[in-house]
Amino acid sequence: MANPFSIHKSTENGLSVLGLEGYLDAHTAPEFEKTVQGEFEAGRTQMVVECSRLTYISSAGLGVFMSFIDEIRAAGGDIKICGLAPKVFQVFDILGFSALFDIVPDVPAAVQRFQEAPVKET
Amino acid sequence: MILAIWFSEYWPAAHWKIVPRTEVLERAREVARQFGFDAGKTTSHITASVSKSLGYYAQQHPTDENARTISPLTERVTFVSTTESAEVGVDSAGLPIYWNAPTTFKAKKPPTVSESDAAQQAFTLMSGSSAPQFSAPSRSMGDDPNEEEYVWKKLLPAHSDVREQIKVVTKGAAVQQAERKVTIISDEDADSETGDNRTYWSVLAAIFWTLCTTANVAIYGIYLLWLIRRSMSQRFPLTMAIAALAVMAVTLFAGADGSSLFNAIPILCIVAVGRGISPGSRPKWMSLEQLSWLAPVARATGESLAAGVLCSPMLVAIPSLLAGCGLFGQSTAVVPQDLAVLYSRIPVLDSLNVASLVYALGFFGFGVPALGRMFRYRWLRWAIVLPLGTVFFANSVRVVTGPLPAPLTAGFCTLALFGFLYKYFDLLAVLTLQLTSGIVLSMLTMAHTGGSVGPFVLVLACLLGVAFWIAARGQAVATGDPRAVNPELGFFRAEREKLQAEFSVARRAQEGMLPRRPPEIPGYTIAASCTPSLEVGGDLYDFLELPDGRIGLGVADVSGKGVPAALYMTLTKGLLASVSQDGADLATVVEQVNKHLHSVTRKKVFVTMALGFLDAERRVLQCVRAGHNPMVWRQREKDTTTLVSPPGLGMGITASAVFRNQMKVEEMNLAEGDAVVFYSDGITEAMNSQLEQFGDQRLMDVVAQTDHLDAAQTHDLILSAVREFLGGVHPQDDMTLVVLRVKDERMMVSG
Repeated sequence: MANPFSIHKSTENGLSVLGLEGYLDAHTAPEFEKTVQGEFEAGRTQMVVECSRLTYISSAGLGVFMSFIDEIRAAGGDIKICGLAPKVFQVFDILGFSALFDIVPDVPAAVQRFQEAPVKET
Repeated sequence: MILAIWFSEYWPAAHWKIVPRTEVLERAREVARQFGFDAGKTTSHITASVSKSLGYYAQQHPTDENARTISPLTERVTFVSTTESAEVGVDSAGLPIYWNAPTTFKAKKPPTVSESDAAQQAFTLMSGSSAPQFSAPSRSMGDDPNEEEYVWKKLLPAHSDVREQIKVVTKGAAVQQAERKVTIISDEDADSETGDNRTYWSVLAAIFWTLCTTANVAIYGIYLLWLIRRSMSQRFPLTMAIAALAVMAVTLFAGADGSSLFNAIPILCIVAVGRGISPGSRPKWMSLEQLSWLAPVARATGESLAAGVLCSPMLVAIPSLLAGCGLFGQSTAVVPQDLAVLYSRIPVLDSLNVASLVYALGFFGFGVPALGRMFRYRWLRWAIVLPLGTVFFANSVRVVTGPLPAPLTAGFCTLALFGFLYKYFDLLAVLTLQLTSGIVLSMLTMAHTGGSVGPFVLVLACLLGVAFWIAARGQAVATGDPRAVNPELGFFRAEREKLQAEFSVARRAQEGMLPRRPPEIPGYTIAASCTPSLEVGGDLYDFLELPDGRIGLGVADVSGKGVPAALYMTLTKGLLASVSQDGADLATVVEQVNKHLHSVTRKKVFVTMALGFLDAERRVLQCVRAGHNPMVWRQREKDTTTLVSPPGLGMGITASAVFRNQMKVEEMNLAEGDAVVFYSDGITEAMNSQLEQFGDQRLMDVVAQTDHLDAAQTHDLILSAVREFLGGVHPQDDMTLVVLRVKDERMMVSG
């Protein structure tokens, strides 16, 4: 069973938008991890992860969000998550990610959220 | 062939006269005879060498009269008998250039000849004529007090950069050594236009060169030491040793003159040591390893071979292309030809320059992985690899002369070609490129000197044929295949079985940690199980006897799979057992476990847990949900089935106040006949062949039908429903299930 996964990088209002597509599982998580790390090292710490085409996320995929968020916030940036399909949102929600991350409907909302609160207050 | 014609202008050998093997032997015998040595009953070996600076000068100064007499090519013949050996060097004009008498040499000349006469005769022989343009000889005592040393210097016009001298060493009336030596005092006049800058740049270049070379050697050395300290796996070195012996045998029996094949032995040893560490974890070595086992089953092996062979003309063309493009002024391609091939009995064997593999193997097999280990950031790795690699390859192949940018560019292009093969194929492709480029080079050299290229073409064609055959027939274990990315799941049966054996030990240990049987609580039945998937996993269920008499029951799931997950599972169990004995309330227990987990896992791993504290007397179940799947609560009296999902974060994610603030404790007042089901996502995310998930709803539907059943029966019914849903598909994740049922005194089903 092939588990295709791809990341589409773009920028929106100076924010780095990472569009995820396909299966984010233990096999594909390293790719996502590398991308986030690359953005972070390049100083693009304000990231929007757009998930409308993400069909599945496993615990390893969730781990990527988790492992970077403190560093990114310490650098004044944040990860805003948007476009989650109901099933994928459920996975985020069960783990309690809605308390840790700003989860918004779409990219424009994420852009706006960055203006209102660059770093999520917890 | 096209290359050979195209680049003949930059192909030094095209300008040299190559003397056939038999003729060289004949002339060398004649020279030896004139020095009084009978080479009739000896065996002979021929090697050839080229002075690059002489060749370069001759090419650059076609009008220099003196340069015309220069022969950059020297054929050296060694005559060996049972008792002694002598050496004769001949240039391409057939003139003697070197003579080294055997130590036991006794001149078979009449004793009437004086020392100086013998020296004069040797000089005449070496200079090819009476040679009036030479100065009178200077005479001095040699290293041995019985030896005399005579030196003639050629008288040349002042403007010429060529210096030529003849040195003769005599002992008594016997000529021990005679040598004609041509040197170029400055072969850098191509730089003369840059004038004053030259010193500055050359100093800078020397510093740069030295630093990079030292760094290369240091990295390589440290890494090799580290490798040798590690233990080695057995099969691979053994194969390598056999291969090394085979190479030796072939070389000996074939009687090839070149000794380069002997170099295969240390190289094979290096490969063996390198491969001996950490089996299975190096995808770039995989094809090479397979080939050495003579088990090239993977398509990738064939692809790597083919890529290496097909790229070799490009590698050979790099120096000529750079010299031809004219970007670097008067740079010249000095094609690194091993001319032994010209005088070999079996030229194809000599063209296999195994020694040349050291560079590519050292850099890509050891250097690059070492850098990858040392430096985490990709840009930093690039910043180190690029200059180091450029200088390394410029140093190792030295294919272009001229101002500094020329060899550096050549080094960079070489690095780029090798790097391309390493990135998109693997180490095997890199080594194949290096080896076949040697064959191509020798083939072109043969073509330029009128030799036979047939065997070379045949070897290359055979290699390509084998490569394509493997690529076409091999298994699709190619780049992008998860098995190739994750070598633990790879195709080496022995290693895989070994790993599986270790896994099964780990799994048994893990299963041993789960409670043997659920606790017996009056008024309740409890059933629990954990069905592991193929690998060891991170699921856990446990029952706790709390200090206040309550019973704790919970299910936890560690993110990820395999041994790390199993280790964190063990840790979680331990933490839960110890923290729960402090008599703290449910929220505090979970908070404490979270705090400890967070400090240990460093955000790499998280653990989700559903934990309940049951007050059996009062029928009150307190529940928290730390990022875990909600519990299913079946209330028989009300005929409702609900998901109990109080908010809460997974453990190990954050130790801040957010964790405590988010967590809510839910209190469930149980009634007779009620059931509470704790489970892991292996149940709800179990996926059938149509890629559907079992899901919450199906689980709730099943539980709704179990009112008349006790915990064990409910538990079995749920699992069989999941199995039925999967329809033969093996579960991909651990399935953990804990069922608590409040006994109904009126029904007493389980009796």
